[in-house]
Amino acid sequence: MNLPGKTLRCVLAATAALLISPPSLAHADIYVIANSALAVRVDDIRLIYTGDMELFGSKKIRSLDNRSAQQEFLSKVLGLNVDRYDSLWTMKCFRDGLTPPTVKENDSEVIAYVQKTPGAIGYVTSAPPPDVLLLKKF
Amino acid sequence: MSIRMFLDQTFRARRAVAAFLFGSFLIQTPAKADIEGLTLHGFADTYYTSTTEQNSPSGNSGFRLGSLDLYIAPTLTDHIRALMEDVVEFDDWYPPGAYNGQPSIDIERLQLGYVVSNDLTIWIGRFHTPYGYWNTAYHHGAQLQPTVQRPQFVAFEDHGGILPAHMDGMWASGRDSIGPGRITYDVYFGNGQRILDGALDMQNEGNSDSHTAIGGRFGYEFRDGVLDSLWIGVHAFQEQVDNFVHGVVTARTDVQVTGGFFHWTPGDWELMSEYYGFDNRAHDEAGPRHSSTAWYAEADYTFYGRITPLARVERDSLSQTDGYFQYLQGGKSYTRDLIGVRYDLTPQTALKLDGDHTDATRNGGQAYHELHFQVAVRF
Repeated sequence: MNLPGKTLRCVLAATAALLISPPSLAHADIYVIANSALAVRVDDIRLIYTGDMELFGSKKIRSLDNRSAQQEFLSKVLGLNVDRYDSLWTMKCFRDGLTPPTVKENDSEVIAYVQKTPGAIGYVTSAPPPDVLLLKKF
Repeated sequence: MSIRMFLDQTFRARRAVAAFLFGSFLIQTPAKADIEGLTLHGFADTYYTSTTEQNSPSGNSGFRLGSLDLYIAPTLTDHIRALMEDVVEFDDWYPPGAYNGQPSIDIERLQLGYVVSNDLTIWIGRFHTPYGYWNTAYHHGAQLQPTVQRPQFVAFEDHGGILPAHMDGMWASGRDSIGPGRITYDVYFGNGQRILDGALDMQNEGNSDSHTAIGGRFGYEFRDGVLDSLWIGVHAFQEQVDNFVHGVVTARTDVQVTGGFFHWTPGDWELMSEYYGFDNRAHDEAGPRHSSTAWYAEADYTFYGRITPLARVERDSLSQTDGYFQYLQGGKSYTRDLIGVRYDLTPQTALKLDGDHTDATRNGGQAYHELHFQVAVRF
């Protein structure tokens, strides 16, 4: 196959860019974690993050979004992008008066909140400490 | 309306919105940070209209302000939540001679809910009446709805609508998983409507004539398979509606409505339709029933996630011997064919262009064309 010189240079440049770029979160693992008192099922994760499940027993579930891992979580677990997720919660809030998940900035904020808050559920990008419940690794 | 009454109402309305805005500011301070859902949300829109309709009750050609909608949805305890929404807007349809060029402020919703379980919430207060799809899905959320304008017959009460878009009362809303989807149900009752100055009034300050409205909406929402996202259902409500002229009742009508609806988003398509059949009868007479129908069907398709051409047809055949439609300003038969396109500039900003042909000549109205260009945002 004969590639024109300009095309070949572009391919090489793109390959080099891919090789030297920093590790992307797009391939990070997602650990969905919960307070030890919140023993929900794995199937419930989707229901909680789409506003279809707000109580566990008689207690309110306090869901968290992790800004540093949100895109990966939405893609892997819910099959949504950020825009569609935001639209979904706009409609849930406007139509049903539901409160969207509280946004935390990173893993450590999520873990700290889940550890101390009964009913809390969140997601992080590294293995969680043993005092929180690991619901599933995606 | 006397000048004094108008000034009183204007002052009260401005005081109400100022209190709402001030309250919204206060409750967003850190002192109340333990309550979830105190973020102030809203919608706003402005548009340009060109119409060939003469002496239009819905306004003239030119730039126009749509509405400014502000709402909060605080979660007060594990089981109690609230939804409060105020709207500032110009009333398009107004009693002859009463248009004053001033905006009005409506407490759109003020509802307190008890979450019984994941599948049932009971609300009390003023809420969007749950019938069909459009009224509860979009309502004042102009940025959410695909077109610039609502179908005319599901317009708000003070914009020529023929259905009670709001209700003061109680509402049980729930769902239950069955088969590949879930059933949905809404049951409500509240103050009966009355007709004042040609518009439905939902009696926010008490049920002066003790007539109760009662209704429900039952549906099934597919959550898997080829019918995934299809929500299809039926709705019904009934009430006695009295027409008042200068405080005197001139007609009493037993209004009975049944119908159905669906909304479906297969892939990039969005399809929806609503049907309402009226079977009304004069309350004090053993006279005949008056049958009327109203329906719309709409389809749109989104290209590249941003560009959405759409089309809608509306058909409204209303009996003019019916005491209900006879006194409603919007109670005239019409047909409307609409095409348009929506462009989502950002997920929060929509540009919309609609053109329609409306024919209301059947009951002595006009045939005319309209063109609307709207910018609608949410925040």
